[in-house]
Amino acid sequence: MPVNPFEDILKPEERVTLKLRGMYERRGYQKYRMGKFEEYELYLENKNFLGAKSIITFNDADGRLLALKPDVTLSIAKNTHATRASSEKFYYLENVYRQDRHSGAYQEISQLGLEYIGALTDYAAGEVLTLAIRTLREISPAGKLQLSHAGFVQSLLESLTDDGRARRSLTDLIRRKNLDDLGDAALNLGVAPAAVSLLAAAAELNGPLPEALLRARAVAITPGMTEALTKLDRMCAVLEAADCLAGVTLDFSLMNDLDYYSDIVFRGYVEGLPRAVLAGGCYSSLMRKFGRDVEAVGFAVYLNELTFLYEGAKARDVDLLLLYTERDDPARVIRRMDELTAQGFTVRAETKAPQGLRYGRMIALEEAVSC
Amino acid sequence: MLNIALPKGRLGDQVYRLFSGIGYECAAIYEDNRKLVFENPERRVRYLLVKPSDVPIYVEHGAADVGVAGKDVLLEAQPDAYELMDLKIGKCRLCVAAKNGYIENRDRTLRVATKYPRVARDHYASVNREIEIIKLNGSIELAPILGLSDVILDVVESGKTLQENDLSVLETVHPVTARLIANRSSYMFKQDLIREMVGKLREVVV
Repeated sequence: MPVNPFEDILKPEERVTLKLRGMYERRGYQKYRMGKFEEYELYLENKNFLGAKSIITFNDADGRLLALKPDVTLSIAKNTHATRASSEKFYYLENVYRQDRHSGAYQEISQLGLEYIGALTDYAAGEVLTLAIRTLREISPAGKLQLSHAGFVQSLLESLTDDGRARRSLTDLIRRKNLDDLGDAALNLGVAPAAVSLLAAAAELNGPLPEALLRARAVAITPGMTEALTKLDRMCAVLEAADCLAGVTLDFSLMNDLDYYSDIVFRGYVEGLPRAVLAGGCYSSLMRKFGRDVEAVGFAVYLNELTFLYEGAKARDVDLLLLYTERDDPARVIRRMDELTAQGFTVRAETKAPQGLRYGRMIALEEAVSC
Repeated sequence: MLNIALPKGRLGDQVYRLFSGIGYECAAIYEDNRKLVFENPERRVRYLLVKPSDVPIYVEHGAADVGVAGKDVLLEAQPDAYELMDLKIGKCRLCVAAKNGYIENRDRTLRVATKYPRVARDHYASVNREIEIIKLNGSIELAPILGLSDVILDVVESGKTLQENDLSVLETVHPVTARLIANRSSYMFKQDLIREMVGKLREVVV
């Protein structure tokens, strides 16, 4: 493999991005460049998917109301030509624009994402899941993936109450692992105490994948729950074959919006970072909302988060500060700069040391430098 | 090492007594009341003393792995964190109160003075009532007395402060107790420590 001459120039998160792109390309995922704008209407109709209250909008020359993309998946779902017979595999590196939950200020968020759209065979879903885990390992050896199947808890809730609003509030409590309030809320809805215990057990169930799946069998009382576990069993087998089981935790409290994600969902964490750096899952329900009879699975990596992980690695801006005077022949300075950079140094040529510049050594034009 | 965010003040003292009783003691916490970080390496705990309304922020951003905050603070902050346990201490309730004898004029916007704008907005939206929120940071009881607001939405413990200010409770919005919350990432990486703590707490909290 050719050595990347810029390896030492790139920031750690840029190096990781390059490696990940290589990993995706080698498995046949092609880079897809998307437009920055999208019709605002798309987000208006799917605001639950985004969970965002505000989007940056503007009028195009023809009067259409456009938005700066707060999300990439929706655009993909809307625009893909994939069918069950002809799948698409691609990845993207895009910026999205979202409002910060706390300050309300808009942020530019850099995302690296990977998507498979087509017929969702176990291999296809397993490949994406495997790539998610390998992505996480590439980011940090201390990465952990939280895996769930949205259908498990959804099916249990559907068997307990027909009230959609009640199901949503119970789902929210499960997401927070708030077992105390979950018990009270379920009892208030008239759920039998035995079923309340099952609900709490499902919300609390957590552990390394093969072992936790066995425990989950004891909680499964509906065909939907059993089906979810069977799917997870099959994913488990794929992950084992790919040597990707270590660091995978089963946790049914992980549920994305159920209108869009109804199958496997996952989230990746890295030690030292407080928020998930990776999130994804099967979003076939979203495809159906767009009237597409096709299945889809994918994930996104939040590259902004990584900048906090690798922070503080660079101690100086350049190795050498080359001082020249205005009387020096510019051609000599150029030649000297070429010599020094060819020796592997990073060098900045100036007539005076710029304020705040962190450099290893200050040298004169003719001064010899040893490596 | 488990980083625990404790709310400064009376609730924090109660929580610390509860935690030290199940093996998370840190005697240094009594020594110097100007310090904000106290550590007991033997017990693998580090306590951070923070303003009560900041506990969810410390936990959500991972500066603390777990923390204790009142349900009132959590309803307002809506942190993206796990809410692992009701510690059943610091009991009070979020209430709407007004001057004694107050009669609501339903034909105009209701002016609500509160430290909890989000809770107020959600509560009145659920009953389809238009309100104007007057955000205050303390002495909420003054607002209806001075005509700044029609009602207040605030925590009520014994009701004594309301009584002394000639106010009374109109309705209870939410019961409040102290909750143990945890950062989602910490729950992945320090799960054994966190689950051990919850297990021990479940044995003593009734």
